[in-house]
Amino acid sequence: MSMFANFILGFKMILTLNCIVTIFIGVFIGIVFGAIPGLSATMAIALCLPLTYSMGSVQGMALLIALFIGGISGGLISAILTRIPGTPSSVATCWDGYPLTEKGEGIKALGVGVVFSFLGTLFSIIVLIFLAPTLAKVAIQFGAYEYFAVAVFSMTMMAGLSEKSVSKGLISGIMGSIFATVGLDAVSNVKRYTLGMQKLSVGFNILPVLIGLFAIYEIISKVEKAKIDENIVQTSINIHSVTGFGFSLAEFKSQIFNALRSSILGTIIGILPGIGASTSNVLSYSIAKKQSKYPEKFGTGIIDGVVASETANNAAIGGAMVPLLAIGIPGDTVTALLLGGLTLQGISAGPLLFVQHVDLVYSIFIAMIISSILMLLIEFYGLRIFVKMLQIPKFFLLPAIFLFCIIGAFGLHNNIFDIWTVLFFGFIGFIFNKLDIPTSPFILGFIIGPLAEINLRRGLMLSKGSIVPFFKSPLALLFFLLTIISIIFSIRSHLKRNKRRN
Amino acid sequence: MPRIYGIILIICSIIQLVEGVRILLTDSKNVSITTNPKENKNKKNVILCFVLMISYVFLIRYIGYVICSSILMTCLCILLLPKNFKSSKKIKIYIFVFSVVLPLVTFLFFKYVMHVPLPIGQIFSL
Repeated sequence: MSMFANFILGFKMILTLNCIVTIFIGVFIGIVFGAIPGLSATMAIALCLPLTYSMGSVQGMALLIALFIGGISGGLISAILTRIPGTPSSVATCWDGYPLTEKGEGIKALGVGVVFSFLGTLFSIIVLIFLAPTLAKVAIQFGAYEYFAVAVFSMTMMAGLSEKSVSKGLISGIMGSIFATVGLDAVSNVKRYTLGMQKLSVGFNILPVLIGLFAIYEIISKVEKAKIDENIVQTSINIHSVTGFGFSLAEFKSQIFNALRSSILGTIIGILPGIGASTSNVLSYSIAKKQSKYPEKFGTGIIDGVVASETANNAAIGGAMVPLLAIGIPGDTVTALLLGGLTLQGISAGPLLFVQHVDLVYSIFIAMIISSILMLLIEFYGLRIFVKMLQIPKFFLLPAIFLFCIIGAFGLHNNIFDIWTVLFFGFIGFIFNKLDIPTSPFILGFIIGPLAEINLRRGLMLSKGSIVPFFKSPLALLFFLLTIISIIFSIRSHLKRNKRRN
Repeated sequence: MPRIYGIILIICSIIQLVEGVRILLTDSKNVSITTNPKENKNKKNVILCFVLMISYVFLIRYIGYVICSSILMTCLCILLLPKNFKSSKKIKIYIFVFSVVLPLVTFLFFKYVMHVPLPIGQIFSL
């Protein structure tokens, strides 16, 4: 079937009233979660996953994707208006966005942010549409050897590039893999680490683990800081006096090159496992500053900075979807959740998706396009609602979120045991944060660890226990080489940073 | 096969240990521990929060989702309340109403719209 016919098929699935309304609500909730500091796209998806239980696969995925796109973009509102980034993906947006607000050009900054968020998303979706099927065609030839190599590569990337320290990232990742081994072993059905508990024999589900690590931790850390009250500076903005999106065509034209560079950068970072929108915005900002003719103006309130940051963080969305759909390996926590959402629907992501569920893949593409268009409209014209949302006090918000965490965990299997899991991982998340260990590698290790294990063992069965064939397959060899390069690279940059600190 | 996996796990643990020791060695050099009296107070809150959550999961089996959640939410709201609000009576009424209404609404919503029956509690189902 041609690509065009596939698109028609996708359109047919998505263009129902149900789906459009779902996407609308999803984008809206996503932006709210993105805009409120402390709540992120990951949490929005984790909390809304239970809602997809009773939906079809298309509608369910449409909701999750709408949340993803809204959540990444929503962070710009609070970044520009209050100087507090709503999500880690909008950290760099503050640097030029808030000075613009101080100058009285807040609306311009918001307009630029929203429009270039949209363009960044669109660019990455186009890349996704052309790259993912091609990659899937390659990936369909992957055997156990190649999959194992890819998994190992992803693990090292996540450990190396994730955050401050290589070893801490690695520890976190390996801890995740260890927790993932709890339960029945996938190849030979041996019970492992169940501590004699019947309920542990099915292992930990990704959803309670994620809710615990991110949402519960967030609540606990806020309890810790409750005594220090935060005052959100309120800036009033007059939206009625603006025509269009608040900036001129000439300004738009001057940013095209900047936007293009940031889009490409963001998409590539999205494709790489382990890093996503929260890395791309800072990196893109610093590159835009370096390449600019007037780097000294960055940080004083010019739209270049907002463009670089917002285009790049949204471009990471489409990039992150590429390995998820084509190979079945999630690159960050959000795509890990999307993978969980697909699994809930009984669909396994990976190259076979493009053969067995072509309609779903293309309806995901179309849902992404519709979400980004809706994001553009809702975010700009609903601005005043979101600004109001910023004022909801935390002591109402967090208990309500706790309630939804509980419902989400319980609804998975109608089982109180899952709530215990949530609490347990909330505690782990708290300890990790106290020890300054990043939690995202934990999630990736949790998902990629079993993948690596299964494929290693399948490969060993194929080769009758010999490890040599793993290095004979050219694709696998390529990924092993990439692994070594990424390890060397991350250790080197780590050492460099240490030197600078001393 | 499980043995091979076991070996991998052991290797992982060794890596972890080595890394852990390395971190300890490097950290002990350049980390100065700062403790201020305020932190102690917050620790108490964190422990209280955990105790609340744990007792919540214990109790939900017996007294059901709605009542249990209402109690927990009231407590959590008060825990999270910044100091300057503490004296206000209006806020406390809001909190109470909010903590009763939200569990009720979600309970009904999930039961009848999403078809997820949340636990009603053993003492009511007898």
